[in-house]
This record gives sequence, structure tokens and C-alpha cells, in this order.
Amino acid sequence: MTTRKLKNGVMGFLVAASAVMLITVLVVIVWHIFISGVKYLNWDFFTKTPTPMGESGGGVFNAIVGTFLITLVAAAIGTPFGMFAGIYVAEHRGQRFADVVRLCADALQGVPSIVIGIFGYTFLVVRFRSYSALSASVALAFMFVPTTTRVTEEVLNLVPSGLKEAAYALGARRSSVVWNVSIKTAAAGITSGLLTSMARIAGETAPLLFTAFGSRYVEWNMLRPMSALPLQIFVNASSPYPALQQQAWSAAFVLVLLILLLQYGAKHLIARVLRVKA
Amino acid sequence: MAALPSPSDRREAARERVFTAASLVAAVALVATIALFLVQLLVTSRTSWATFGLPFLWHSEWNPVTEKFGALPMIVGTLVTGFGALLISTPFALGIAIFLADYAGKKVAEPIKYLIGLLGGLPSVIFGLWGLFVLVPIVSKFEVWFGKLVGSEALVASGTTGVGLLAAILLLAIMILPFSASLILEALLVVPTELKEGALALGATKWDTIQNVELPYVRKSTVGALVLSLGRALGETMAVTMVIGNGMKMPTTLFDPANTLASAIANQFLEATSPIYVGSLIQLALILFVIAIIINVLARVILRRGIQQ
Amino acid sequence: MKNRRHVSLLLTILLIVTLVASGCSPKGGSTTVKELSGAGATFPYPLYSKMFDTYASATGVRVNYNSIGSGGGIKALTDKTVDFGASDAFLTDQEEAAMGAPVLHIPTCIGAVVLSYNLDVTSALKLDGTVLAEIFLGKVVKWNDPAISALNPGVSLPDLAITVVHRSDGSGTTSIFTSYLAAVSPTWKSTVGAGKSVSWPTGIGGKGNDGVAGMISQTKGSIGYIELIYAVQSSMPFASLKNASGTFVTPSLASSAAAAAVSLPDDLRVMIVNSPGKDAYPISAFTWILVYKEQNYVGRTLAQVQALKKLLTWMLADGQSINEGLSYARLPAAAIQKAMVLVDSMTYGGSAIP
Repeated sequence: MTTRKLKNGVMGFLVAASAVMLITVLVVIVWHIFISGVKYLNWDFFTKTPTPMGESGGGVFNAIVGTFLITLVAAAIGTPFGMFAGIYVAEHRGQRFADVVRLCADALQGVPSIVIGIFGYTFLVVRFRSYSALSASVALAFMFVPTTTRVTEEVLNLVPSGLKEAAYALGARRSSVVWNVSIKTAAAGITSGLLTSMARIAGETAPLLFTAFGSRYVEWNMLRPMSALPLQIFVNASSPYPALQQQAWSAAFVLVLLILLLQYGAKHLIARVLRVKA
Repeated sequence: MAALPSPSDRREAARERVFTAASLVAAVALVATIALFLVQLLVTSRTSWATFGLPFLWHSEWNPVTEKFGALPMIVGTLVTGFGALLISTPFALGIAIFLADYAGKKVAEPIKYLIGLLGGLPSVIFGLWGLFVLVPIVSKFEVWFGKLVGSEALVASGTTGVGLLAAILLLAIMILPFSASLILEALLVVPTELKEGALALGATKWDTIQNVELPYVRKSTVGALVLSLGRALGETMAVTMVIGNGMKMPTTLFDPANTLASAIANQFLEATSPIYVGSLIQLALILFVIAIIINVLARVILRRGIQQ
Repeated sequence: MKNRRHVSLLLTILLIVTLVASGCSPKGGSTTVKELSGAGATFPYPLYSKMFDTYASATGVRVNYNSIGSGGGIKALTDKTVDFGASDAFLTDQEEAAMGAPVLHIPTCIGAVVLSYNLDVTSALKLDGTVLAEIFLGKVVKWNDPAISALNPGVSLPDLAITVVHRSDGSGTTSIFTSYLAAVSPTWKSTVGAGKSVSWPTGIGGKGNDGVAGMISQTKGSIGYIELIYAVQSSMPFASLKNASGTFVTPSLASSAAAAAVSLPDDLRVMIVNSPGKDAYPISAFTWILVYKEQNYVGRTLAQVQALKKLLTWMLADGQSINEGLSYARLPAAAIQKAMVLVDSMTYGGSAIP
């Protein structure tokens, strides 16, 4: 009896201790990133482009623009594929091919980002003889689609079958039922999933290494090389200039803010905007 | 009454066809993508496997100068960092999941869950940044101290920079921890309260309940979560690239700089000029692709079975 | 329901605007070329970034240069994904064959490869080629080795292990440095040799000149080879080297310019390491911009080619005034003359470029 009580106490202590250790490490990391990032933020940082090497000042406006454009376009490319694939799997639940599709989505999700980058390079950059933001967006779209597919499928499966049956009883065709009933009911969940996926791809670096390539200038043309926050962080981190390293921290801070914004939007704003029960 | 289809009926029928076609196209595209990846990687790496064949997998020399390439140092690096990270993070992941599921009150649990979610969503490159500027100097101090402790000049020498396998393992462990912890937590929360209360009513202590009721219940899900985390660790690129030291030779100790399949590609791809060099790097990507798919699919299969229980 | 439609409409409009904006060229007509792209050497990157910045302010043409190492530049040019490449090592026969067409080497400046180190010493170190080779061969492993002390009388050197830092990527700077080592050490020449990537007997690798500089600054007892300006801008110490005439020379733009006072071949592919001049710094080197001689490939427009030629001409003329501010030596007049000839020899569809 007492050994069990002893064990209970010891294990309880160990669990709590590991939790405390872990939380301390997590807090330290997040705090450090926050502090280092905030320290070097200034107005220039958001509005200017990098200065020539070795000179101080400058900012990452080119990277901010790049991240926005590349992420948006990647989401635009990936959403229709992801949603319709998710619709297919939800509608054909139980069929062999649907299972295969789901499996492929899972498999694609597990493909390391560097492999996606290599694919983007050999498939797009070499073919079109140009590094471009568009090839980066396509590469990121490959990462966007699997999560979108899964979210769409899961959310669609939650739609009460009673709703769907009522629609069919009224004579609606399948596509109508799916689009006007299921999707509309699930809209909040799907959009939330889209934003979460966007948050994920906004932070990816490896697919951009060999596709977007980076640029010191603010670029609006998707067919040209473009900078992005994760790329800028990576490049700056390996430089020996303290000024550039500081900018890496600040860029990291901005990137985290962006991701948090997207995740917050996913959780709270969508339900409110669409006025659908969350 | 069989009436002729009205214009709106025809439109609806057309919409139906388009809709059905669209979902089929998207579904097929998804499947085709995996095949396309495989084919493209095979084709673009043929300069390498045509020259080296299967022995590429166990050749230990990676030499861009003599153009002799072998994947073994990278495979070893990948496995050591992946399993090492899993080994270190698992007890902590279990610990914190159990803590949140069974010990912590709501007021404590919510902020911790948020913190874990926050860290899990951090991009890899930011972990690399932190790893490079904060973790590596600490690891370096430890490695130099340890080398002096055991009296090994070699260890002190390779530990001076701090970058290497050990730094990568520690960083990876921190990275996959939120991921595995949340998955295990999710599984623990599904354990029916009646089971737990039943055990407690019979006189079991809290830990008894955890050990004999909850953990066995979530065993499949936990294994699935761990395998998934392993897959994540094996494919991790940016953070590892920034702290592993880009060693071309087979590492002999944990303090040595090394490379994983992913970091070798990230570090070397942009300047590989000769077709064999490029092909070999792409072959590394191919190996990584196959490993990642196998592990990921395995994990999902285990997880789905665990959830369906 | 209405809100959702509004939101999706808004998003669609936003997307269309983005795509249309990306298709439009920024101000100006469709025939004016506004951007050139290049990639390659990190050795001249501080200079190029300043040059291109100045060029953009002066002409409005933006040059997007990615500093990924000479090897990367050569690969980018071979893949034809950039307008020009940059390298401190001229093409090997194999690389030229891979290019498939003749390539011109246009020099832009003279730089110095310096040995920077991280050590608590009271004065700048003196080293010579033999000792350097021994250090990089892994034969001399401690800072207080007699070979080093002999060259630095009166300087107390610590009992600390030497960590060699070299390049991990395909580097023109490596090519320059290893050519120097091969010239001064027969052992180096026979065991390791010279090239953009070599099998280093010892040490750790950094990516790019900046990566190596970063590693040196973070590792006590380390020594590595980087371009002069990287050491200057990071306030890192560097050694003076004994040159071929026996004098210890501190790297500077004067001493690297002195190294270029040799006869130059017409195609300007020459290594000026271990130069015989009295004041010459022994590890000085040219760095080149690489372009295809025949510029009409993969559908390049005449406008694009003209823009490239204008850039190169500017770099050899007005651009040279930027060199010395960043401790790169200007090209000697003889070199500029021959370089201009090379630039003029660029063709479009077989004929000279107007």
C-alpha cells in the first residue's frame, strides 16, 4: 500500500518537475525572441529596404511585401485544389479511391519542405529559366493543399446529415447540396483552416531557397525573384555583421506577429464576420 | 409529367457536371502529385544513381572535389538527430501531457496550452536563429567543459564551435516537443472519465490510474504521435541547417559537425555545378522523400486506428 | 450570408489586383529594362552591393545580386537563370564545357584575401606561407607552436588549439587561397591542391565570406581566410604575410594594387597570388563578372543585353571610384583597357551590340 502511495508521490513530483522545466524553457525562448526582436524595431525597419553590405540602417520592407504576396498567391492556388479534394473525399467517404486520396494528402503533408523546394526548382525554375516568386508560391501551394483538404473533409463531415437529407428531399442536386448546404454551414471552419494553413506556409524557408531566391528590392512582379521574411532571417543570421543579425531578430519578431495575427483571425474573427455559430 | 428541361434546369445540370468534374480533378491531382514528385526526383537524380547505383546508400565518402558521393554520413546524421531528439523529448512530452490532463487546473492548463501552441507554430528558421545565437554558445561551453573533464583534446577541439550533432539534437527535441505533447494530450483527454473514476473508487492512487488505465488506453495514439514527431524531426530543415555545422565527413562523436539529408541539400544545392553533384543532392532528396512518406503514412495509420478505438 | 459574399468578393478583388499589379511593369515603357539579375561570389559582395545601389540611384536600373559563392554563380549562369555570374575563380575546362558557349571574364576590382583570427594578442600577427600551409594541413595545431612564435618575437601566444575555418561552399576565395598555398607549399600542392572546393584536412566550414567571418568571430582560437573588407567591417584583426620578396606586408588596397603590376593576358584570366613585387600582398586577386559572349540565348531581348552592357561599362569606368572606399583596389589602366575590349566583343545574334 505504501509503495503505491510513494510511487504516486514520486511520479506526481516528476511529472510536475518535467512540466516546470519545460515551461521554463518555453517561456525563456519566447521571451528571448520577443525581447531581441523588439529591441531593434524602428520605423525605418518596416519601410526601408536593405542598405549596402556593411552599412547600418535599412529595413526589410522588401521581405514584408514578399511574404504577403507569395503567401497570398500560394493560398489562392492551393485553396481550390484543397477544397475540392476535401469535398471529394467527404462526399465519397468509404470508397477505395477516396481513401487513396486521403492517404496521398497525408503523404504530401509529410514531405519535407526541402524536397518541395528541390521539386520547385527542377520543375519550374529550370524550365522557365528564372527564379520567381510564382514558383515559390506554387511550391508553397503543395504544402497548403494537404492541410486544406483535411480540414475541409473534417468540417464537412461534421455537417448534420439531417440538413443534407432535407435538401435532397427538396430535389436539390448533389453539387447544390454540397455547395449551398454543407460548405455554407462549414464555412467558418474551412476559412479558419485556410488561415491556419496560411500561417504555416508564411514561415516556411526551405521551399523559397531555390525558387524565390531573394531580392534586395521591393518587388511586385510575381515573375521575378522576390524576398520574404523567412529568407531574410536565414541570410541575415549567417552574416557576421551585428546590425544584420539584429535585423534578423526583428524580422523574426515581425514574422511571428504575422503568424499570430493569422491564427487569431482563424480562431476569432471568422466566426464573428460570418456571423455563423462557431 | 415528363417536361422538357427548363433553362434553369440545364444550368443546374451544367453546374453539377462542372462541380463533379472539379472535385474529381482535384482529387486526382492530389494523387498525381505524389507520383509526379517521385518521377521528377528519380529523373533529375539519374546522373547519380546511374553512376553509383545502390551502394550510394552506404558509401561514406561525400567529396565534391573528387566527385565521389555517398549518402551514409547524411543518413547517419539524419537518424542520429531524429532518434536522439525523440529520445530526449518523449519523457518531457509525456510528462507535460499527463500534467495538463490530470494534474493542472483549468487556470494553469490554459496558458500552458497556449504557450505550447505558440511554440509549435514557430517557423523553423526562427528556431534556427535562436539555436544559433543562444543554444550553440551554451552547448559550446558544455562541450569544452566536458572535453576537459574527460581529458580529450579532440572533444575540446570539436566542441569549441558548439555547432554539431549535439546542438542539433537538443534544438530538434525542443521543436518536436510541443507537437508530440499536444497529440498525446489530445489522446489523454479522450479517455472516458468513468474509467478513471472507477479506478480511483477502487482505491487506486492517481498515478496508478495514469499508469494502468490511461496510458494503456492511449498507447496506440501515443505511438502514432511519436512516430509522427519522428517524421517531423527527420524532415526538419532550416533549424538543423543552422546549427549542425555542415560537416562533409562522417561524424565520430556527438560534438562533431555533421549533416542531415535535409541540411546537406540546403547547404550545398545552390552551388553544385557538376551534373553528378546536383544529381547526388537530388538523390538525397529522393531518399528523404521515401523515408518521410513511409514514416508519415505509418504514423497516420496507427493514429487513425488509435482514434477509432 | 451577405457578409460572406462580401468578404469573398473583397478577397477576389484583392487577389485580382495583386495578380494584375504583378503583371504590370513599374513606371516606364515596356521596352525599358528595369532589372538585371546576377549571382555569385561573396568576395566582392560589399563592393557590388554599394555599386549596384549607386547605379540604381543614377540610372533607375536595379541589379539584383545574390551572394551565394562563386560556385553558385557559375551554376546560375550555366542554368541561365541570371544575366551574369560572378566568380573569383575562372572557369575550369569542365565548367566551360558545361556552359556550352564561350564565356567572357570581366574583372571588376582587386581584393585581398586576409587571414583573420580570434585571439587575445597584443599586436597583429605575422605569418608566412609555409606556416600557413602547416596550419591548414593540420600539422601546426597550437597557437604557441614554435613555428608561429618564431615569426612573432616578443608576442606572447596562448596555449590554445587552433581551429581552422574554411569555406563549406564552392568558393572563388578558396580558389585564390589554395592557389597561394599551392604556390608556397609543395606539400599542399601535392596533397590538397587548389580549387573552389578542396578536401580540407582539418577545420570547420562556413558558408560564404560572411559565414566564415561569423564563425571566426564566435570561436576563440580560430583562424580563417576572408576578403579584407569583411574583416575591416567586422573589426576583426588580420595577419601580415611575408611575400615572395621576403617583406612582411599588411593587406591593404595599396598592397593589393601593387600585386597587379604584372603583365596581363588578353582574356584577363590570371591569378596574381604570390606576386613578385616588393610591396605586393601575396594573396591578392582579381574577381570577375562572367557573361556569355553570345548574348542571344533563351529569348533574351536586345534591350536586356544593352542594359547589361551598359552596366558592365559603368562598372569599369565610373564604378571604379567606389572601390577604394571599401578597400578594394581599382583596376590598373591596362586591365580596364583589355576589359573594355572584352565587353565590346559581346555579340547579339553574331553582330556587335549597338
